[in-house]
Amino acid sequence: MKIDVEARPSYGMALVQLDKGEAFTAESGAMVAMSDRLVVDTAFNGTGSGGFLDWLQAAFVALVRRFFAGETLFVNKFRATEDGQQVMLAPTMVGDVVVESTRDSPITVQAGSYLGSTPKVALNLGWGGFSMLFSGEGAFFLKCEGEGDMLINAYGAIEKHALDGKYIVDSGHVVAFEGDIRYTIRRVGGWKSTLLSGEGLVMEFTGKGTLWFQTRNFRSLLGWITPLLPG
Amino acid sequence: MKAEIRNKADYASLHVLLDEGEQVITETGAMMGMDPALKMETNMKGGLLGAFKRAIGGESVFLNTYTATGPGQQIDIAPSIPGDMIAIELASGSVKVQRGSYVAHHGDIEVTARWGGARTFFAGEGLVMLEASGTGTLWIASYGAIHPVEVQGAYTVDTTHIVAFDDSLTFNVTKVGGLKSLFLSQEGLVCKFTGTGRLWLQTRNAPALAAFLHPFRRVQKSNN
Amino acid sequence: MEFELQHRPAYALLIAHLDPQETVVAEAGAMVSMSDGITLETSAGKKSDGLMGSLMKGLKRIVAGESFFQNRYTAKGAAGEVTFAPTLQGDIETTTLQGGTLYLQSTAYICSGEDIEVTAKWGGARTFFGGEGLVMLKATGTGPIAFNCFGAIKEVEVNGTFTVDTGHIVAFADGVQFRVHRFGGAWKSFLLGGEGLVCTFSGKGKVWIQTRNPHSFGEFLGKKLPPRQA
Repeated sequence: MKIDVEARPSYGMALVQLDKGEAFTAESGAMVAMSDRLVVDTAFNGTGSGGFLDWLQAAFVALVRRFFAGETLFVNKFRATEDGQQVMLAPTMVGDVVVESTRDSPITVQAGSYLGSTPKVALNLGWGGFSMLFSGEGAFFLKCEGEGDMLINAYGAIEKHALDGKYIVDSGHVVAFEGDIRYTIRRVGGWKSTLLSGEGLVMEFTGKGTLWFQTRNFRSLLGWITPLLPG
Repeated sequence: MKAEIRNKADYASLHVLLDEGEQVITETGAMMGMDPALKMETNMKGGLLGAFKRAIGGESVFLNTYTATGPGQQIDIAPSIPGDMIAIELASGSVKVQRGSYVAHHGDIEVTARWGGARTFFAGEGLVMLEASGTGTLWIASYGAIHPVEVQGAYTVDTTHIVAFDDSLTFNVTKVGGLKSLFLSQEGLVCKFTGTGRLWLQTRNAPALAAFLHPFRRVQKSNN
Repeated sequence: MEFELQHRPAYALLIAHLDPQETVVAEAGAMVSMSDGITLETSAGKKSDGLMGSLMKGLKRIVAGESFFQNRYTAKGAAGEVTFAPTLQGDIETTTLQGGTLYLQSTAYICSGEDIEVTAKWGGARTFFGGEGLVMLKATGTGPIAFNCFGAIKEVEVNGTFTVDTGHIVAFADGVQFRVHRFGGAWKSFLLGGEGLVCTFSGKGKVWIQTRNPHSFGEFLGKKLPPRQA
């Protein structure tokens, strides 16, 4: 298997090349182009990989995500029947795409930023807390771990920050963080600042590892374009 | 202070490293990441009148001032619109900036709102521009890439593509072509710049994006 | 006349350099700037048959069988330049036709030389995009032509078969045959944004695709915006 990303950071697209028997999972709606004889299976994007209870939990979780996070319900698994088959994958939103390995440590990614992963990466849904939801950003996180690679997408360019201590990131710009990094959700500055600064809630990260953030956020995009809409 | 613009022109972001006592001032909501030790204050720059003037300009009424409490403290700043960012070094003279393009400044710079005159200057954007003067660095953002033009004589621009220009240029807003052209050509208003000076254009325009998105909005159900 | 591209690939700008008396023809609304001495004329196309084009906002729906409005920019006295940009973010590509044909997605057309004819009046115009309101335009003649994409542009040399989501098609040249179809099976339509239509190209020739889908993008953001009046 070979995963390349083109057109970074403006409109990233992943090219996944598969040999016979290899598979890759992607968010539904992500396929741009593919080799004709790739086999495609559709599954629920939840947790677990077997058993009826697992399936039920996965379906419930996917449904909840659909309502709160606006995520699609399904994922598609592409399986190669011959060597050298290819699928091109891209997200809906404009911005960057990166490949990251989950072999050394798990990566917790904002649910909207998950694009795809190799089969051995386990996906576990996490809830970011009600304060995250009310801040207008996605409240769901996906913890991805295992022997494999994953595709992360963002609105804007993806910047990597080497955390060693503490760092504050505006919640609308958070894409992912590594391993044991912890965070608290807080206000920045005093009460006056909270009301007037436009910053709202921020995430203060503590620990050692990589933070991924995006150089644009939805809140500002909508705030900018809304006054220009007719009617 | 060390400042670096990254991810030009795609989704440009500004990364500033401040030493103890140094400050950078930004529009509200522009902070992407920061060292927790930085002190953040929200102020009405230039007093109440300054705030009022800036409100007319379309910028938020308040600005955030970040001050370093020790050496080597970092702040990452992102504009609200998808596109490019540049630094303009101001020494003498002033520049006019389209409202919505101001991101941040460092140094002794005064940013105020100015009325553009009787005619609508930026189609759909109202009468006002911002004027920046003083000494220091001004950071401005665009929708699309920033396309600089050295005007020598005359140059005509669709008003929705103007980001900033030197005050040394004179400008005149007109319709393009004849009346039939205005209606059918979809070019709207244009601005003719004359004289010598720098002009910064953006390669995309916001009203076109708004018009593109409009049909995709949910339809409001009326109440009976 | 020379076409120059700048600010690729994120927010590309096309600069048309005109010699005296030269004319560039462009999509209505695409002009960003022009030098002194350029005049503008709006017409319904070089070979007008009197039909009114129907240009709606948004996806600029052009009903197959009708002509559409183009602007003609001419450098009167001296040489000059006109710059053009598309509606959405993304790249621009240029090519030169020498009697051949280029098929273009309707929102992809930006500008062309005077001896190029662009029409929506051909058999396959409406087959590609279902209800999305897009059509494929047919460009023939001699001279330069510029087209834009949403996202980054990728040129694919088809040699065999190549299947692509129709929302990602920008253009294709002579030499390929196309077959537009559903992906097949109720579940499988979840693979794709938009209508779930794909196009399988076969033969030997160039296809240009874009890395983002305008319809999916519009729907995704449209849902987050405040609702509109009916």
